[in-house]
Amino acid sequence: MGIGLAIVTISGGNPLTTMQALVYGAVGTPTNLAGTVVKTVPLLLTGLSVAIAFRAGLFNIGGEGQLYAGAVTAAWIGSIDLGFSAVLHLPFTVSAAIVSGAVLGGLSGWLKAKRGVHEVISTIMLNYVAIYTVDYLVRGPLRAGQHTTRTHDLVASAQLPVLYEIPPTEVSYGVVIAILTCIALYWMLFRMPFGWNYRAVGQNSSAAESVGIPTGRITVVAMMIAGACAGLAGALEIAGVHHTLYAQFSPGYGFDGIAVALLGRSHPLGLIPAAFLFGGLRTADRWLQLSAGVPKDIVIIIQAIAILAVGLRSAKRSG
Amino acid sequence: MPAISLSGVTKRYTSDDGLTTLANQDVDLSVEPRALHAIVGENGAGKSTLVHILTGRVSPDTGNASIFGAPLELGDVSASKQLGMGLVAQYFTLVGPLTVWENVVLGNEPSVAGLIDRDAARQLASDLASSLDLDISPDDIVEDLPMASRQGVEIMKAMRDDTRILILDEPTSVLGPQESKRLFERIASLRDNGTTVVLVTHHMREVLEHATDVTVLRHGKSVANFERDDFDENAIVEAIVGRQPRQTTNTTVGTTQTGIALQLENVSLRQGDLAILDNLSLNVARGEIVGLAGVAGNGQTELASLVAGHTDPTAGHIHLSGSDATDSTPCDRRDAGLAYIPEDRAKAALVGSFSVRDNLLLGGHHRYGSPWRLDQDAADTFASELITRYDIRTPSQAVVVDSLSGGNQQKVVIARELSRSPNLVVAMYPTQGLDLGASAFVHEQLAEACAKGCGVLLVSNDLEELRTMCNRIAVIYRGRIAGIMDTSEYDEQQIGSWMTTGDA
Repeated sequence: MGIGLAIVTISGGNPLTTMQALVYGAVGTPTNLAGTVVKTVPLLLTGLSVAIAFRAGLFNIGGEGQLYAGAVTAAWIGSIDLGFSAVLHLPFTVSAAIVSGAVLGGLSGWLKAKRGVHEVISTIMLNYVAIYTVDYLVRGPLRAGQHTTRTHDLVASAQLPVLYEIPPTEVSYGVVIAILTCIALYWMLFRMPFGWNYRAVGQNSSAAESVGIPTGRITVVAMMIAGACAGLAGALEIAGVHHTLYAQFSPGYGFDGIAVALLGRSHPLGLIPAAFLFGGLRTADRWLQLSAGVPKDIVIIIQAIAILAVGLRSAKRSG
Repeated sequence: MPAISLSGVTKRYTSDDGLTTLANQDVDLSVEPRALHAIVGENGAGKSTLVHILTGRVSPDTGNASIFGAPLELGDVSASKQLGMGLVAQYFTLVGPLTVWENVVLGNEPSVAGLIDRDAARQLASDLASSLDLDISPDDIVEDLPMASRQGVEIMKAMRDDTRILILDEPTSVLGPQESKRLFERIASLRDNGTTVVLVTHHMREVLEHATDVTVLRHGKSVANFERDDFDENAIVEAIVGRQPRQTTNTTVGTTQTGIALQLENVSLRQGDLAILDNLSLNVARGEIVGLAGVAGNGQTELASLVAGHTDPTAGHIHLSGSDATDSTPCDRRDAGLAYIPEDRAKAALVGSFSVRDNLLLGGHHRYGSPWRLDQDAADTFASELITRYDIRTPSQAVVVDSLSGGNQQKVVIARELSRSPNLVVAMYPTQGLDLGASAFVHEQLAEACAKGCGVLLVSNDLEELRTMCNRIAVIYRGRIAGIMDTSEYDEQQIGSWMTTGDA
């Protein structure tokens, strides 16, 4: 943070106003705070997606594609009026999105376990497959009208109920779901006996193998959970925020998840403040430009410095 | 004038959490020219640190050194080299895909006009090979060479540039008995030509047979020094362990045949055209310890991983306790009573960042509590029972296993594997790198498991260990069993020729 402000000073800005603008822009007013929370939700889940894979020794770069897979599934199922009540339609929509993310992630896990295909390669390639397939669907079969590049609106029974509203921002129950997911995965990793097997594979897969832990199966499961988290992120964006799917709707949440996971040290509960920080910076960047006259790119610099600091700390530990 | 004279060398390491370890404390060492000076001591006694200080890789906190009377600036690799110091490290520092001559000149290449002078380099390598009486061609690719020849290349590297003092760190750990013999012949001829040799070793026999002097390190201090004339095995061992050595009992157990623990039936493992295991058959009865000897790289590792279920054979059958387990998963095999002590405990047996408790439970956490929640109390109780029963020296069960000494880490592995009352134990080099006390402990535990009716397949390259522990010794050579012998008819010559040529 200090270095970031130093850069602001060097480039002729006022560090104090910048700091004020950042804090104000992120949490200063109910509206800003609501905006931060809305941005935190997808970052938290894509961060969780990267972190949970990382705990099993895998690097999931496919969060973006898995998020799109979840989003398009949610947008498709959510826009069909099945005549269900919200009690059925919404859970069905969200579950289908989770499953589609899990299938996409699990595919990479399966390729790794059975064929030795490195998950970084396969997830990156599947990102393109997913994003462009969604692009085709949004501009083609699922298009809402002749001159739009978005899908039909979600029917009311598939929309997430609003937790808190301050026009124009709506905070949906998505934030509750995201935090509960963090707690559930924390429980799985650190409280369930399975978590020890899971982390053993991540820390030393040959030792895990030698005590009979099915490492291949855990690889597939880990990538499925990772994909499910990113798919859920997509679903919550659609069902909770946009209520429709635009082509190229994600500003790179899947990739920002890598940074969030790093900052939160891949700990499901540590991700909550990390995602909130990133969400806050993303919300504050407009304010920065408006009130402090500092280009909003400084936010990216601050993020980068935060990640470098985490990297340095762990390098110092191991070295 | 001594070849090496070290006085008052102290090196301390401070870890992140502020603990200070004295790797070397006030060490004195005096090596006479042309001597074969052995340095012995338990693991962690400071042998490697001392070697690294001599070769300039580690800079001590205090201390003086001189080489043939010339003061040596400590902590400077090139200064050590200039004064004629050469090192053959325990783990080779060769570049596998490069040729012998490329490895020999690496780092200091003869050059003409900025380009490597290949002819000169090749000539240098072949001169070194012939002066050392090594049958190695300069154009051989290093990774295609057997271990003994690779060590030869290391010696060539070390002897380049008028080396007067050659330091060998555990040189026989990769060699068979015949090759070890050849190595000591080579060392003798080097000494005849004026080279001084420092030998770091674990093997008492090498010291007693070949060394002219021996310095014993214990807890970082040089505690004793013997010359050839007053060598006394018991006195040296006592200096190493700091107490009266435990009498090693002959632990061979009477065979109480109660069935077959392991039966390998015409097992083959092929990778492409290469037969790593070739139609191999071997039985281990319950209550029997079968030793598997062989030079490293003849299929031992693959054999163990076949039995453990990590790889599948391309042909043949594996029976565990009488039932066909060829297609069972590693997990099923463990449930059926298989225990496995892998070769490299840090890499393949322990999760370094997990606590001692979690390593003791590894793979068995589901036995405590429900699938939804580990019963921490039950797990703690189980772990502390094992820690007491297997005498694991640890400040608490919550410390990470990485912080334990090698011997205690191996105790963790032994405790985990043997506490499951197995029918078959596959133990890969279980005492490698362990000091005498820890080795004796491992042997006792294996013998006890065997007495309870468990079959043991003990893979080792320490023939002395195999002779005292086993009922039978099988020798593996190029993926085949070259021969099996009862330990009651032990014949080292025969085993040696099986190991190196596969001939009967």
